[in-house]
Amino acid sequence: MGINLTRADDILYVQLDRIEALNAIDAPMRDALYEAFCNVQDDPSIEAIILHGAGKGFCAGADLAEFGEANTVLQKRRIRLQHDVWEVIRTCNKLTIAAMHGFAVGSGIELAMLCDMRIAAEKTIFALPEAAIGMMPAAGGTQSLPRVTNLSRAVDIALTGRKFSVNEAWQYGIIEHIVPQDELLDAATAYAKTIIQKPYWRTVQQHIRTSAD
Amino acid sequence: MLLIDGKLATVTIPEAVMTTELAARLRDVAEQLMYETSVYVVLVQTTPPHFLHELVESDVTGHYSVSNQVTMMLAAWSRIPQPIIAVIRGRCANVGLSFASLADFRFGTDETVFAHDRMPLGGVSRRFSQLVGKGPAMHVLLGGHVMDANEATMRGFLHVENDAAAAAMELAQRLCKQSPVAMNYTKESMLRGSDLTFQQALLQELDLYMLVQTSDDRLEGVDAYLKKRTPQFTGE
Repeated sequence: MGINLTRADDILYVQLDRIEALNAIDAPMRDALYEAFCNVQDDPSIEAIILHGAGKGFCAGADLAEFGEANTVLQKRRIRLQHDVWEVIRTCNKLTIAAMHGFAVGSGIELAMLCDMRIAAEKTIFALPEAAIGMMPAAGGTQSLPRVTNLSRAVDIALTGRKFSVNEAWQYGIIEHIVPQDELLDAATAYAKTIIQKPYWRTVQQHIRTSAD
Repeated sequence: MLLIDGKLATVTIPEAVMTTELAARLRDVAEQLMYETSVYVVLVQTTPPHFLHELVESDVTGHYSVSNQVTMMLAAWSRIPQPIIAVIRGRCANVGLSFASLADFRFGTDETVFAHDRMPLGGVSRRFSQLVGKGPAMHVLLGGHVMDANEATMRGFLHVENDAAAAAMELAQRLCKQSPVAMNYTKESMLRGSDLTFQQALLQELDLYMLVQTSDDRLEGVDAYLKKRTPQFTGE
């Protein structure tokens, strides 16, 4: 499946787990994420979701090895709209936090930017390299990045494909916290608990999510 | 004013003061660049030590007024699909700020400053606020604040270099090796999407992505990546 689901109290941990492919997102992982996020929305006992990665890093992006397989462009578009995992994550009725380490590249950082908040371990590297390989971001990156930071930095990052550090990501407003890697999940959990104990957090979350519109 | 050398178009603006004639020439250049599919990147620079910063008023009103001509020129530049890199030295104000805001990258020096003290033209109110944030944009456009190079850098609006022209050229040459299809569609998605709701913008991104999927450049880029070789993009 490519993901592992574990639960502690009212927090669901979604771990990207394709270590052999640096957690690159392939069709089975997309389907698993879609199913997990659809299911959790009907579970009132879950308040927050923490997305994180197994192995050396958070996510290396889309799995290019599966590109060119089957499906016409029309079929791809229809499938995407039928199972729009990015939209399900973006509109999820839980608090969503991405806890990143190592690298968050391409669809990896795009996935994180669809979450409400982002925490990263020291030395995490980020990039949107699609333009350098003849593609464009397609997991919401061209829209989430300008809204998370600003248009100046977003255009720079997306057109050059340059790598940027965790300190730059914090300076740009892309991540909220930098923590030591061995404290990443604990920090994300503590942060989630701080937020979901506030009785008004859902209202604020919805207002902030739609404020860019 | 326009020099096309392979995949790079360089536009050299000979004056720092905008006139009807200059606006017309710049508009012609923009309309030419829109059709130059062999051009991957546009580099803009000025001959004077300052970027555009003033506008000469005339007695003509209506369609042929300077303001209207400048607005049409800026609209034409906003339709250029290729990445635009601007070298901005010295003072960049008013129509200069409108122009600079249409660039995708801005390179300057420690002495570059951005200011605005007249009626905004060419959509700068919206674009500049998307580029630097609403508060800072209001501060410059209405509050009379002069944004210096340090602040512009902090807000992501400017890259400060000792030799801004050389740094801009280096980036231009690097971008010329990338796929123009990927760059143009990424730029279009980001700029158009900024005027839409998030949900509408995501659907637009999806449609543009699907168009990119049909390109030879996308096949070449993925194949080169998987085979660990340098891609040869054609823009097809």
